[in-house]
Amino acid sequence: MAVITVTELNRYVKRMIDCDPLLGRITVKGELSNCKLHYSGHLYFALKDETSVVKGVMFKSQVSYLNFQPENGQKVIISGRISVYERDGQYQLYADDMQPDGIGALYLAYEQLKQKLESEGLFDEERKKKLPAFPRRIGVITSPTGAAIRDIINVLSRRYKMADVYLYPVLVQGAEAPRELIQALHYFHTTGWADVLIIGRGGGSIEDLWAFNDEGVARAISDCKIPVISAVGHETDFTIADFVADLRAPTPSAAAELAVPSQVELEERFAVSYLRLRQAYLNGMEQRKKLLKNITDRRIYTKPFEQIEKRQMDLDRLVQQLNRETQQSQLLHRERLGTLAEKLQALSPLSVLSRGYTTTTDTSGTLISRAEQLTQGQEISLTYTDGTANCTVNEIKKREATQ
Amino acid sequence: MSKEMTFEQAMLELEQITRQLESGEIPLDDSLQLFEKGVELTRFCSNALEEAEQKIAILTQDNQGNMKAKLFSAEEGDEDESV
Repeated sequence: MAVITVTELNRYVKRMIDCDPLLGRITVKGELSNCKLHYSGHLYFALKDETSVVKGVMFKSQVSYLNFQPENGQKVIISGRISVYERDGQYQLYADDMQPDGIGALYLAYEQLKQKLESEGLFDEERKKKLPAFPRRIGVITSPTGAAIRDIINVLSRRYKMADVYLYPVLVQGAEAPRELIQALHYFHTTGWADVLIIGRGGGSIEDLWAFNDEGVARAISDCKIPVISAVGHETDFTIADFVADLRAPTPSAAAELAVPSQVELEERFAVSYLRLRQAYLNGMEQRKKLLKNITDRRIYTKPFEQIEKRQMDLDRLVQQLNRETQQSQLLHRERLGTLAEKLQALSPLSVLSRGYTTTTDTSGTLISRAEQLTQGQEISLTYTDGTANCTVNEIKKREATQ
Repeated sequence: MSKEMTFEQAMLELEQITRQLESGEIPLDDSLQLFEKGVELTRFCSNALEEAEQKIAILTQDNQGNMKAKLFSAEEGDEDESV
């Protein structure tokens, strides 16, 4: 027997395994452990069950297609091939595809899609559109035969008759459901044929509700320009559609309640509104009456002659004052006149004359008070207190000027 | 009142008029007009509520692929959720 090297041995085993048709295309299930995402982008892991373990690797190009994040302890189903890593003499599972296993897979995909959309901001409150207060058209996207549409119509016809209801019939479960839901959302989005949308279905298993966890459906709800109310299953069911919708309703009936105001409440509101209106108007009138009364109550209107009377009194007083002052001033003047008259009397030449003096005037009546005014032979007149005498100047004797 | 006026517009206007009147800052002539307008709006809204007849329709595709609305009654439907 020929002696071979280790390298030759490993190469031989590898060749044997590589040409095995079963090992070349194999699907294995197990639990992940020792998961390591190498910086090169390759994923190294071990796959184990209760008793055994096999090493595995997934190359970068395949890792990029994974729609979930592999983690230790996760149950997975891996498709790939078995080959040998020659250097270590170790056979390995070379994984082409990896899927989460079992019901946990749905949950995982749900959690991961939720995280993805959340990180994109699709659940953000500020993205949520406001529902119209009084919708005129309500679009309902659901099965035409389910309990959901009956519940929705029941509530809408009881609660608010002013909105028309347009049902876009769709499959709400099964492989075709997401496509139909997206189509219906797109129809309302492009036609604008509704003011608000209700999308949903009645209760069911997690698989039954699965269409509402579809990424495409979630994005169609998020992109829809019409506000969307989601109503999937029961109170406790939360789907991705619920997170992206503008409003989540716990049930289809609740969605209908949220979509429209209550007609009864509105009627009450009108009654109140009318009362308020009337009260406001009457208050306005009352206030104006008061304003008017404030004005008409003023004295100028209640005692219109008061002002005139007051002025009349003022006038009377002034006239009296004038009279009094006039009289007083007359008295004063009269007194002064008496005094002046006495003074005048004292200065009167007549009184001087009565004491024996005479006045001399020339023929024209000009008073001659000095001798120098005289000429010899001049005719002059002497006035006495009781008469005059015409005289001729015989001689003038001037007194030597002593002044 | 305009026939095209929507219920929502009427509600908004009614609210606005009531507030204006309540403010007490409206000239007398205008306030009577506003009051009458408010009463008219109240009547309009109440009538709209009372006379509303809800249409319930199902959208179906015709041969050309156009969507058509026809009257729908949920009672005729099958109970089965998976259509």
